[in-house]
Amino acid sequence: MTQSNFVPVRLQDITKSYHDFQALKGVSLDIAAGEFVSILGPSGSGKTTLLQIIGGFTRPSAGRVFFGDADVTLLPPQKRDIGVVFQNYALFPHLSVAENIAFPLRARKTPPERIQQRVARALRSVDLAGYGDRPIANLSGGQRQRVALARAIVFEPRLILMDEPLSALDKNLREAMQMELRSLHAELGATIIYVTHDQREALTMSDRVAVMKAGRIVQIDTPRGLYSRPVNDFVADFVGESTLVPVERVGVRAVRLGSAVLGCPRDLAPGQLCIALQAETLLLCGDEPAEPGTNCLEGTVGEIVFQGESLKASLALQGGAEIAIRIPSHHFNARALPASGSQVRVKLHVEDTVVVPVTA
Amino acid sequence: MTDLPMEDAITRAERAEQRGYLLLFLPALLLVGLFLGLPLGLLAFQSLREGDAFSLVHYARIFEEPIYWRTYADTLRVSLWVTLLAIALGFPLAYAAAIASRGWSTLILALVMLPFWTSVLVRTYAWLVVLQRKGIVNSTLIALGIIEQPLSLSHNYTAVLIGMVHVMVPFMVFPLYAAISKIPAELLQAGHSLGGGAFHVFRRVLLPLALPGLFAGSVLVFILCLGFYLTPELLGGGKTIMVSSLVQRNVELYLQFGAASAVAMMLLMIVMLIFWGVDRILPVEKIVGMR
Ligand SMILES: Nc1ncnc2c1ncn2[C@@H]1O[C@H](COP(=O)(O)OP(=O)(O)OP(=O)(O)O)[C@@H](O)[C@H]1O
Ligand SMILES: [Mg+2]
Repeated sequence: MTQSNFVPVRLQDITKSYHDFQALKGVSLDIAAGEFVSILGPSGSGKTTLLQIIGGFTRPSAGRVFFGDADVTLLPPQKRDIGVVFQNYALFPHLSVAENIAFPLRARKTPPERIQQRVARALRSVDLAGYGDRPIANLSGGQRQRVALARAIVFEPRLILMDEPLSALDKNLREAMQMELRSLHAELGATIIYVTHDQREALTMSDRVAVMKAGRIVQIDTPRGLYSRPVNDFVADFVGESTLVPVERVGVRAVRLGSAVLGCPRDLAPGQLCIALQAETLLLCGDEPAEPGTNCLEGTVGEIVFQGESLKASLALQGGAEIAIRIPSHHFNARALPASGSQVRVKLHVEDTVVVPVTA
Repeated sequence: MTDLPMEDAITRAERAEQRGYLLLFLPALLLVGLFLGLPLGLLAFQSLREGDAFSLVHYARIFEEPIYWRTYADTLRVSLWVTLLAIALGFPLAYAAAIASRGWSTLILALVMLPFWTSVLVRTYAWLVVLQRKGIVNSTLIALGIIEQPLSLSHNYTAVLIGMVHVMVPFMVFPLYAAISKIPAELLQAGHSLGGGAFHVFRRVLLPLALPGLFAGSVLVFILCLGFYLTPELLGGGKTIMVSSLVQRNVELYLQFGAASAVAMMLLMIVMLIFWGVDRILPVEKIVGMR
């Protein structure tokens, strides 16, 4: 695909009120052409509302939406040229697979022979060649998802919106589809805005992730940035599998947790602080003196749970906080496993030491 | 796998379950048998009797006398028009009720229900008052200078249509409302987002998905229309005779129970023929059982 007509999207201070409830409280967002941006947030944070406003299904109470240089705030959905994949796919049950995919082409009065060609091509691109005549009711969840996708891309839209399109699928299929969506994105060069409340999914697929909370964007960053430099305790808690523990500030780049003093990679933010301890960044270590660039913590091992690829052990720190560590469950580790109730030391790389300000 | 006693036990349990269902079914079955099946049987019997012998004279008369044929044709024509007008008026109402917010939708449905609170007789007389030569419609139109001579709106075909459509619209609205409100909003949103204008989405998405309701409503209205008596009698001024009037005249004026029964049986057969034909063109189970 050489010539792409995908556009950048700019949201300017979007608000949306339902009576006296504010679902969106001033959202601004800049998305480059061809970028894959996920909107991540807990239930009720306004993700769907935001997507509906970009799609033109609801009007914002204030603010503007731009596609490229054009202000589309008041443009109805049928004039916006966007492919939407709905949460439950919204395939037309009375039409066959091919007729569903042809719908946007027919709406644009495309000549019939062109329709046939493009439907066939769209079917091939989602690996459903030969399924054109099937009724929608006979398809599996993953196949429906792919039909919805084919229908959203067949008319070469300017933008693709997806609202939790994978949430109805089981884990294996979901992960396979995530990979497929990634490669499709690379192939089409499409601008994609993707709503999800699954942080792993957002991290897997996106160029950037916008984290929402109660109608606001709290942080927008690359997956790596979000993971290692969360702006506050909410983002740190939402991304990754972490336990937040309050810490005391003892220097510009140092905090105290219990009796241990931990070094941090960056200058600390003002205000109250807590550390986000991610189970997978904590490694068991012996009594040897700590190397430079390493923080150490001590605690008592509690329950150990087998979880397939890894074991999860709870660790009671000296200060009384309860955290979790993850130990790969292969047999090289079998000898080194600590016993429940024993005293252990764990180390944490300074770069993985994530200290964030606590928000009210 | 040859554990027969267990299989027997399962079969027995299944039979018992089926007997249970049958028991639930029984009251309705009795009611229908007693108050519909039996009278219909009697009607059929009566229509085949002349004096003390079996005969087809009553049916033969229907075929011989043009007045009978014309009445059947008129009845079907009136019913068809009323059905079409009820669709034209009912669809927008049902759609509005289905997409409106809760408060509005309740209001719309309540207003549609309202006519049920007055008897058909009262409503028909009310139409007579409204539509007469010096009635409210004519005087308003003349006062506005739109017409000079009063329109003849009562005691004719137009009046019959107006009166019947008024009675029938709710029967169209409710099945349509049920069908339309079941269509997920995302489907219509999807239709628009894919580039469909209002008409395209209506034609390709809304209408096909509302078809079960449209079909149910149309059948209901059409059948109820075929048996209408009061409204055409009062508003039609004796010019629009429906089959029901024919039956009534045969009974009351001429005491011809056999003839009346034959006329009624004939109507029943015509309806069955129509539905058989419709079913062949539009596979009903497919339309109704689509979702
Ligand atoms: N039509 C509406 N009228 C009133 N309130 C609404 C309406 N639509 C959404 N809301 C409210 O706006 C808030 C945000 O809703 P939204 O559907 O955008 O959440 P979400 O982030 O998509 O959540 P989820 O992950 O559960 O889908 C919610 O508190 C919801 O109750
Ligand atoms: Mg949502």
